[in-house]
Amino acid sequence: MAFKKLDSALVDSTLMRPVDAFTLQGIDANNQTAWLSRGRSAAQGYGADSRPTLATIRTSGVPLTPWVVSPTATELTLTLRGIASATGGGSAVHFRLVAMTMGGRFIDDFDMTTVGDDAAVQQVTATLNVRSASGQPVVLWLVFESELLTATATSDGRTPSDLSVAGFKVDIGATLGAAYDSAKRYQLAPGEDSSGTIPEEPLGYVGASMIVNDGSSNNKYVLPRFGDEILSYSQFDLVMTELGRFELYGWSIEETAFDAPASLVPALRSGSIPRARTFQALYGQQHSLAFERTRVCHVGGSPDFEDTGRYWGQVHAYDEAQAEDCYCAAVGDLPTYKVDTRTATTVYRRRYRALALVCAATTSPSVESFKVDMTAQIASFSGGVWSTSTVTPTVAYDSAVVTPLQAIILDPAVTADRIFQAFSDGHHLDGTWDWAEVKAGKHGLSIIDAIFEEAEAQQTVTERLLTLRMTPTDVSPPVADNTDLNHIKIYHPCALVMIDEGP
Amino acid sequence: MAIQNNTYFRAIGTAADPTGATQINVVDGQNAIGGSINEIEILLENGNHVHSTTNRRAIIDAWSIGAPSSSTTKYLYKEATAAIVAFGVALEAPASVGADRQGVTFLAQYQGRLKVDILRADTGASVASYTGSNQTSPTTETQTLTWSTHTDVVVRVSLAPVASTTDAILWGVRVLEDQTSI
Repeated sequence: MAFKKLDSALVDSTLMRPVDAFTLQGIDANNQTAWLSRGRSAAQGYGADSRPTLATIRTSGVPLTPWVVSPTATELTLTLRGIASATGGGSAVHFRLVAMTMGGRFIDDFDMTTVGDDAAVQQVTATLNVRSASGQPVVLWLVFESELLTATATSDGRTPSDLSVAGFKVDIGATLGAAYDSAKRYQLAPGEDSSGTIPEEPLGYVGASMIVNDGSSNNKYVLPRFGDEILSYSQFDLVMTELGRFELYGWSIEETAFDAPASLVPALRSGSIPRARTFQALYGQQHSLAFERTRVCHVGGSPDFEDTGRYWGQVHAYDEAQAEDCYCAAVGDLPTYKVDTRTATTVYRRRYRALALVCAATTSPSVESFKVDMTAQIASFSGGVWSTSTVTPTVAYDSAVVTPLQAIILDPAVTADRIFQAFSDGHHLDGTWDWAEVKAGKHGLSIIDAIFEEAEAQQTVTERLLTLRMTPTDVSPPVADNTDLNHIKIYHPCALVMIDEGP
Repeated sequence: MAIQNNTYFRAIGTAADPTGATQINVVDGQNAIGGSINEIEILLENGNHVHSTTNRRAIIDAWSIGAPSSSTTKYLYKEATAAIVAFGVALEAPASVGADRQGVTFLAQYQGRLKVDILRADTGASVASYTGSNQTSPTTETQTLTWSTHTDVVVRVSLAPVASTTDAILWGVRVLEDQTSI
């Protein structure tokens, strides 16, 4: 539906009744056009030398961003841009978009999009019907699976003495080491010794694991760790198989379908006397668009690109009562409205809403829940420096209680280990979550849903930089201020910053 | 008269009144509209406003956590200087602008030499491009790019070091839709 240009001469006289119907029907059509074409959209990109690579042995997921679905929006479209790789060609990865409501309900159509091997960068999309979450905040997950490239399988006989660090580390030996390429991703699966001289024990073999670091030695970390069952075998075959992967350049999310309000044309036909209720409905549609369909300023995380651990966002060790920068976003250039008359003072809608995710993992079974408080800091640009005009707005609803997931214990807490572990030579899981654990409620995520305003004097500034800072406190057992607890890590995967709804 | 192209929404009564019912009402009980305001004028101008200005999308917003201090250890992208320098892709991401919103203003914090391209998502062809001059210290730059027709695009930010003097560093970039001209 094309936008209709309506000259203001149509409305400059009180004697315009013959053209009222024409004008009003045009306004109604324009309202419909705006309703359908002014959905929210936002995107995130990654520095070219620090792009995440998505690959997994089990279905995995990453929280892309919290999102507030616009009222009447019915469909979200996710677009991924990147390079899919699979030695030998064919399918590399499969992905879908899933929304998780604040109550923990999943909106999931289980409809995977397949991405094939291609040396060139490609863009692929997935859609999700979100009618049941219209107007609500959700967390959007990118769920993905790797194709297991069985034609690449290489095997070698190994023994329990090749395992170390409680099964987290495996010496894959020279044969598999020669086939290993740090640019690729691999599954390791133990199986029956090919000589057939070692009968299978009743326990069976442990399931497959994934190599999770780039290290140049043949001693590789794996997740999940190899369970104790493997120690029952004096020799076993270790099969290394390449996984399809996707190097993620960036992604965007867009609201692409809406339940538009019904046309008011029948009430606006020529000869009909315009009724107050019809005018109220026309105005109400415009009001909804202006005050409910607000700008998304930022989605996703603020990765720490010096971190070779390649987490999905920021990670900090617990530091009692110390604020850490967790999310950064450009804001400013605010929408405006005037009341009643052209001469009224412009009012800037300077209220922001930030939905920030936080979770934690610990290696200590004694650590209980703790509190995380969020503050916001907004600064102006000045000659390339942000240090001037910094204001700290008051933040309402600014805290969350975080219960750490248990990491690196004998329970196969795969998700927590993915978040907790860091390697000096890269982490192949990039801080992703095991999707089965997420579906079981074991994601560990808490959300802070905060509202704050620009300072009065700064509301007309178009270029502002927002930093969301988080402060952990009250960990139990208690610790003194400024105490850095390396066995508790706090993870800041993604946040949404938007102009708040309402006038 | 010209087509009104307001950058603001005209609120009837108060902005908190979602239907303007305090002003748009029946005063004589005969289905007529009373009061002192010109409802049709406001409806027309607001109709233009919601199409041209409402929900200007920040189609890309990517910032390093080190941005507030222009840190040289935390950034989105870095390319060390060399005797011979060339543009390298620092960041690229898919983006979608609204119908008739093929105009954006980008804000970038960087040092070195900046190049911003808007590419068609389907063919990769460039539809708009900007190349800046050498910047030997952290710089904030704002420029406007316009094109036509295509709404599914790719934003590509490239950087080159300044030969023998300055590393190329990108701390952050935002690309914000401009108001539609109607």
